[in-house]
Amino acid sequence: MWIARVVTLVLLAASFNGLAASLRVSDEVVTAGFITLHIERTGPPLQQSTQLSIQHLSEPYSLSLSLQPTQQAVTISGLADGDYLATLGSPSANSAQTSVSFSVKHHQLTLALALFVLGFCLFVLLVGMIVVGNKQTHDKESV
Amino acid sequence: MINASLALGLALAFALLWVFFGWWIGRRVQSHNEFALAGRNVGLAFACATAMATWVTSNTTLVAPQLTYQFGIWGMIGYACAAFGLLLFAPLSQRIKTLLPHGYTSGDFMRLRFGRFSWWVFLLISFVYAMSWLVSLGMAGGILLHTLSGLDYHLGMSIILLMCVVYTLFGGLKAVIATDFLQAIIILAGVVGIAIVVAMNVGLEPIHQKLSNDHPKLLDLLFPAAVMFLFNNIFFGLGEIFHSNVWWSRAFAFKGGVGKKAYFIAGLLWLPIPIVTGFIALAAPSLGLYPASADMVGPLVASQVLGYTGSIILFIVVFSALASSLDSLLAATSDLINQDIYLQYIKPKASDSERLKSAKWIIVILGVVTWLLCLPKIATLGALLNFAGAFVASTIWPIVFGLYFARMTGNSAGWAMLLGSLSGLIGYFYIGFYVAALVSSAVSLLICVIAWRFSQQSFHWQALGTQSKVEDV
Repeated sequence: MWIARVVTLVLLAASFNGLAASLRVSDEVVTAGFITLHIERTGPPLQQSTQLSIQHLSEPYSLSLSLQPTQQAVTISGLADGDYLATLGSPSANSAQTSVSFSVKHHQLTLALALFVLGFCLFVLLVGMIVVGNKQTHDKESV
Repeated sequence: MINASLALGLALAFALLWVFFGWWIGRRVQSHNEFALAGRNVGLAFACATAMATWVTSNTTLVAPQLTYQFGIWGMIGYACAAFGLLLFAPLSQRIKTLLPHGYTSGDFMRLRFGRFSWWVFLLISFVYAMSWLVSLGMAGGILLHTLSGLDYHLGMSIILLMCVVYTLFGGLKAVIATDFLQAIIILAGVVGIAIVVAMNVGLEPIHQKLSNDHPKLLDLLFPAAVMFLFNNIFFGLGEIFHSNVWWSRAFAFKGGVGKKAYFIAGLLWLPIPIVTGFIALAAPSLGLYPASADMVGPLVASQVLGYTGSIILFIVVFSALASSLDSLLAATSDLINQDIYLQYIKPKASDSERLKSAKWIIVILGVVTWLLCLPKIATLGALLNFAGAFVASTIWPIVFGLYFARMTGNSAGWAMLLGSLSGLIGYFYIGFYVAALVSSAVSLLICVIAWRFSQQSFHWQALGTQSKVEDV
């Protein structure tokens, strides 16, 4: 009987070996579409890559990627607005998973366009001032 | 990935090569004028090469891919637009040389044109920027070696810093410009080679498909943060070049009439480089590569696509790019401290040999301080550089008004820089790093316009030339 218990414990430990890790996000709400997920590993070093999947909670979006055994963080970019769930470990395997949720809420487009227009006006003004300044100094020097 | 011992061997071989070259170039440098400004006699070919090579730095080799990875198409275009900094500095360099034929630093101009208050604010901004850039370059060296070879970050960072300090010590600006010339050739050849290989190996269609499905915002022209980033990066680049003594010292060092052409040609040569280096970051998702930190994406993709030989070429290109900027910044910051602190406050009547000696000591101290600040990797390269954006963008308008419009005088330039920087920092913390420079520049302009509109005095341009000549003697 005790042999069976030991075997069960060993098998359980083996199945959790690849998941002796937890996920942490740099920011729970991101406004520029990119996020860094930190993987905190506590067990012995792994030999195989780990799967990370990211799912949109209300739209049919799913991104699956494979992480290097020693990789301790991953940066994902270009995400659209919404709530996401990041899961470390293969969902199909009989092993435990660790998850973390985060939201992407982009800045308002009106604010972005206002700053774009401001930048454009400043740039045109700067070029104009340099051109006019050069012309005036050139005219004075030639006189 | 190349193995660590080969990477270490390459880094040491290049270090020895540049140090020997720096010593050979600088063996006849006897005076401070030769050390700081290469005898004010640099011709067009060397001038173009040094301007282009200095601007190809961690910005273009590591941060351009990072920002393309974060902001997509706008990130790539925004980075290429940093070429406007060089293009618009072309006419300014001619004006600087005309107004201050005996000048040494950008600090000279600020002090003589606007007085001590504005000069102190300007020096503070210059040092914040110089240290941010030095630290980002040191960090980039460590990140590069670690990503391409697994070599310890601290070891890689230490090698590149030590190498640049030693060869800048030997030959000053002359050695810096000469090494920049060779480094520019290596960078251009390497970047063209990498572009050809990437274009042949990774198709545009799979990249577009993957980005459309999994990272849709990277292709979205109405991606809010990226839209904000575009002009922010342009003003950041303008602020970097307009205020930094790296570019002013070159304007003083180039022969008469050379500066305008050199900066313009260098800007055109530099323009396509961030497009090439940024493009490879867009290929990362379709190759299944997701970096731990966004600033590692460039080397990660390049080493995957180019293979072992490609990794070695990439290593040499980026190593050269980093060295060409680090040495320039060490030399220019040393000049600024020497001329504006040592000569103004510590030893105003210092002899030529004392100035030469103090310039070398300052280079060593700058190297040590940079090394200490690089030890903890405190931020990503992009975030670190853009923090400085809040400061440097505030200097654009005071410099342009100061060079061309006589009616703006006195402390107003200092207030424009001070309040502009503070506003930029507020933007940095409340919105994001991608608005800091733009906000800073806008507030600075507002103050400059008010000061110019209500000013009752007019500055006499001749005072700049005569005063700088008196100080030089």
